Amino acid sequence: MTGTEFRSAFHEHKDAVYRFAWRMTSSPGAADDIVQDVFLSLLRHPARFDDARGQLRSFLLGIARNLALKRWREENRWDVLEDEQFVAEPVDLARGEISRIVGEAINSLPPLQREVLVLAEYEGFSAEEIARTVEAEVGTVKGRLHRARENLRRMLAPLKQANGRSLTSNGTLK
Amino acid sequence: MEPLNDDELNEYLRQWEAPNAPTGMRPPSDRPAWWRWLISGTIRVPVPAGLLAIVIIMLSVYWAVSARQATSAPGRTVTLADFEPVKELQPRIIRSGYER
Repeated sequence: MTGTEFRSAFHEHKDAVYRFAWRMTSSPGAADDIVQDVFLSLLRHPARFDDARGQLRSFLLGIARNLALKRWREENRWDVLEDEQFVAEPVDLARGEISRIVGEAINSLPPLQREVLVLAEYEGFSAEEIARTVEAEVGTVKGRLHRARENLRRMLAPLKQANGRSLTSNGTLK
Repeated sequence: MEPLNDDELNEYLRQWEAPNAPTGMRPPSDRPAWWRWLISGTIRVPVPAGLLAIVIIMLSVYWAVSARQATSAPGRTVTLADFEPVKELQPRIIRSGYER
């Protein structure tokens, strides 16, 4: 990969990698670090990307995913990555803006459910693309996505109850 | 409490927007300045090698301190009482060769 190709890849994909890292870590600083590490990895080991196995964006998000999970493991040493027994608690509407409530609900999902949800809902990946990115079977990905959505349906149910109330211009309930 | 249906969930999920990368973000460089390594560089040392290095350093310091104490140990103090007159003088005259 030439320097020009590398810079072109950086400018084309840095926003997608940053958004994914931000959604996975909830931290602008961590997202910054992950973007730098992802592209440094591409710069040092360009041969690891095989375009026959998928798009460059999937490859980069796969690296970002591994780095985000590594950080998560360092901060939550005793928690499990995928908790099938995870009990979704309804959100607290007093927390303010809907976008913030939704973000916190997604962030409370187990990481393996969160990543497939983010890749499917916000990056528009198909189940096959997600499976390549997270190195899992397609059936496993579909199962995680189903559980993530089921959990969110229950967690965000209080928003439906408040639907009678209108939204203010900045997305808060009144 | 009744869970959300698919459409309602999708509607709420759309409201969680993520920011793009900061505008000033630059691509990383593989060759950092050499002097930067002196400030923020790290060296990975295997634990056995690290422990061995610590033991060697501690022994070196111990030996250096011991040696210094041995060379700078104060000797016995000499006083005037230790001097005494010579009991028997034995003069010996040495002449140079051409005086013979």
